[in-house]
Amino acid sequence: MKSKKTRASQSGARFYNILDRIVLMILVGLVCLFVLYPLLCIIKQSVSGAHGFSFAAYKSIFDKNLHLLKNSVFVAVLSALISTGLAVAVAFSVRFTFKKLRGCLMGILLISMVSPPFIASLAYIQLFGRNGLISKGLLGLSLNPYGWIGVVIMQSLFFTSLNALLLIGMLERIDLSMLQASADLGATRGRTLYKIVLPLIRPSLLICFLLSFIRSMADFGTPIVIGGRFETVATEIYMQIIGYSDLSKSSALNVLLLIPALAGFVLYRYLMRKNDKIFAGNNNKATGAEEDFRLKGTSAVIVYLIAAIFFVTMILEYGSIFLNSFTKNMRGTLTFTTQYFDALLERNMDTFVRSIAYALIVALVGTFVGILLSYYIERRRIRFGNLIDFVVTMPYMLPGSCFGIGYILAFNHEPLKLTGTALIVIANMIFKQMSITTKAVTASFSQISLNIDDAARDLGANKLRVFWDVLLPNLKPAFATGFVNNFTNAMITAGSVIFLITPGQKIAVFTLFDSINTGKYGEASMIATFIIWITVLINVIFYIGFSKERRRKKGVSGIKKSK
Amino acid sequence: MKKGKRLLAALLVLVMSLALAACGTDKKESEGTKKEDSKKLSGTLKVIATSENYQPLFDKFTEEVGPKVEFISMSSGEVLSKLKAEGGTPAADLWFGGGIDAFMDAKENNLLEKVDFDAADDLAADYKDSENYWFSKGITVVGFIVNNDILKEKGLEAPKSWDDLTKPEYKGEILMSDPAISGTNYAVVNALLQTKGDAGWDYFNKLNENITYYSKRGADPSTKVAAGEVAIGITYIDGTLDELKETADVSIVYPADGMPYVPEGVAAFANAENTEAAKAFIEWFYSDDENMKQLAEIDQKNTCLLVKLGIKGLELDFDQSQLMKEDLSLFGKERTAILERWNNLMGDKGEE
Repeated sequence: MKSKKTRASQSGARFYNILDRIVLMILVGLVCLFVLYPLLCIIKQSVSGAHGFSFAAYKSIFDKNLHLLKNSVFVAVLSALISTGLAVAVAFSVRFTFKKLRGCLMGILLISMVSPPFIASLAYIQLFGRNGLISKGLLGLSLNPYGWIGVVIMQSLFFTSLNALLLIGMLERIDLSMLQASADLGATRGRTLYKIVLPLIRPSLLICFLLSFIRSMADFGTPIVIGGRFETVATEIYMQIIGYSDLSKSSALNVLLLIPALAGFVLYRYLMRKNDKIFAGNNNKATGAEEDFRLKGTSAVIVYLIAAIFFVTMILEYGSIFLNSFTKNMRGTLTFTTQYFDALLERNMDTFVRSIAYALIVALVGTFVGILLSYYIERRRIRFGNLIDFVVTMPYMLPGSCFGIGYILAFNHEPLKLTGTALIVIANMIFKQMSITTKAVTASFSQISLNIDDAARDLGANKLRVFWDVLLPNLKPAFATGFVNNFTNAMITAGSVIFLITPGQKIAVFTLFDSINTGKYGEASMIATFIIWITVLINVIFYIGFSKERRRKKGVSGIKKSK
Repeated sequence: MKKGKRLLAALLVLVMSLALAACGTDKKESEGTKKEDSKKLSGTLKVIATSENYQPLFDKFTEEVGPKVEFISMSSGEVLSKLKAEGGTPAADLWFGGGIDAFMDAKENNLLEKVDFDAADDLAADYKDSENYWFSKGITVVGFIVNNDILKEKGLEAPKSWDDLTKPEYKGEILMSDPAISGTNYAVVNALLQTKGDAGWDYFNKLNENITYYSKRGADPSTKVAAGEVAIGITYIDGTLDELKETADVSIVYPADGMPYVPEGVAAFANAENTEAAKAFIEWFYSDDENMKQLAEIDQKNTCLLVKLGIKGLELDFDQSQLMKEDLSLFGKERTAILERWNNLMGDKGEE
């Protein structure tokens, strides 16, 4: 009897091992097909001249575009620093101090996650431009908003939301009893935060910085609208595609853009590994009494002030977008109008339905695949894990339009003809944002000691059970972040899918793009408002459903522990 | 936990079926329309247009000829990049609108289909390809839009001609789109170079002194002038600008020393899925004046009169002699060289 059981469990183990292998192979296959292959197509394009192989596109790229690269890095470092700093202030305020306002503040953060292309920058010009509502109307100034400062401001504000959400998720997982212990040992709150909390969230801070850096490098929308004469590599790539239709040159520029992004990635990898060693023994529990850990003194004032500035700016920015969607400036006086709303209803509402369907698929599939990927890379430390992680991060480093072009190049002929299908659009959206999910999950993993896996394995759990019962429940905040980010970006990304969408497949963000390009800012604001509310609504439903589940589970696991 | 698993499984099933449904619909639809009517043409005509406003015109086509029309708006540069990446398998059948230089470029690269039809001979020879690879649906004319409030504030007169724009008092008050992005502003550069000859580049150097930056979207000059950000914009002129007059005190200036113009192309893509429908559209479009009138209404300008002479009930908003003299064949030929020179002169100059 007994021997039979062992045999059964052995064959069971073998089954799970095979399953494990198959899942891994599928994942690697997907990454190769939908990330590596299109990227290789871009590189191939960059060395293909009119008469076969040629380095012509690279010839003048370094001396001619070096100052653009400098501009890119300069803006990216500033935006990444500022947005990470802002996010820390926001996250601390939300997590430790304004608990009553929490729902409201989280709401603003969720809304500001949804920043449809160009719209925020247009709102910025409307508020602070030469004829801006605030700069001229309120302060009587005549500012020139165009230039690198505007780009840094807009990018910093825009990146802060995601960073803050990542950090809040991380802060919520910190064992408060540790803070309690620190306080009991006589440390001031400032010291506790500095000595205990900050080191714990350092991996997340690094991730925020790196993600923002990369996002800034690849962002062409902001500098195009408010950069004025200030140009970056990303805007030059945009010009090469849209203005000159020079695929070779734009591909070569992409390779150029990858250099600093690559450097950032290697640095981040190195720091993460070092970090893991420091906290290898840290057993994390999300339990502990909810004590009062609000900040005090001057540091508190500074932190709250920064957070307040962020929130007020966001309210102004989004307020003006919403205002624009229902008003018209008639020679200096704002007039209420439903003109844009009617125009919205008149347009095919099915673009919204299609957008939501795509976004749901992207959010669920993308997040799930992302979790699996980082499980194998981070937890199981599979061979070439770093390489796979790097490949997965690359699409995020490139301007969207290029990743889109890469997909057309890769999938325009049999046997892999996908152009014109919904699949190519969805796959593109999934893999463009994949690295956010893997980074968020990685940050969560780094807080869960590897010992837990080993303990579960020692107790007889197979790999699947460890993943499903031990790790997955701990990944909820990361899953939430991944879902929200994937869904949101699928709703608002235009750059990468603009080339993939064919007539008859229009999505909402495309009509937004069109309205902006034809100068109909009122209509654009209305479409943006609609996209924002739909996205926020679905994100909130998901978030609430999720946190309820989590609360219920917390109770269960508590009982389990007491046994 | 189990509940969670089941929920997840259910969601995945939902997602997969949604995905399948999304992938499947295209085929079903096209099959359905095929059976519908044997007399009329069948299938779907996929169009790349310049704006979303052409729906009524396409509806009319579906009603009279048959094929369902699906369309999407894209700038000419995007279309060219996409076509080149697609490697001979275009995702659309018809190209409707966009600067003619892009059409010339596409013809050079064998991306367009020859469309011969009877009414083609009635079209003005100046505005169509001699071998029938492309046609035009009208022209874009270029002039200025000025914000009278700002001009008053600064004590400036509205500029009356291209030469006026280089006067030092307009420094920082003029907005122009990058000619690489905007077909309209490329027309300005090419036409003024043709008119002024060698002095043309000197002119643009001087103009560059007055321009703070070159915007990267074609509609920016007019909307930003209306928003009061700059005093003068170099812009296309059509009826849509009248809407801006409601929102701000702006005026339109037809430059005294001539208006640059560029034809707006129409063509069928080579190797497309439904070339037949694309050809049918082109033939249908030019064969009936009512179609042209509908277009005039949508575009809010009557320049199709220049393409097809003698359409009754339409009248040009300007005197044809105001147009600059242009050799259009140079538009495509010189594009790369002109833009490269432009980029070297203006591109990096304005850096901080």
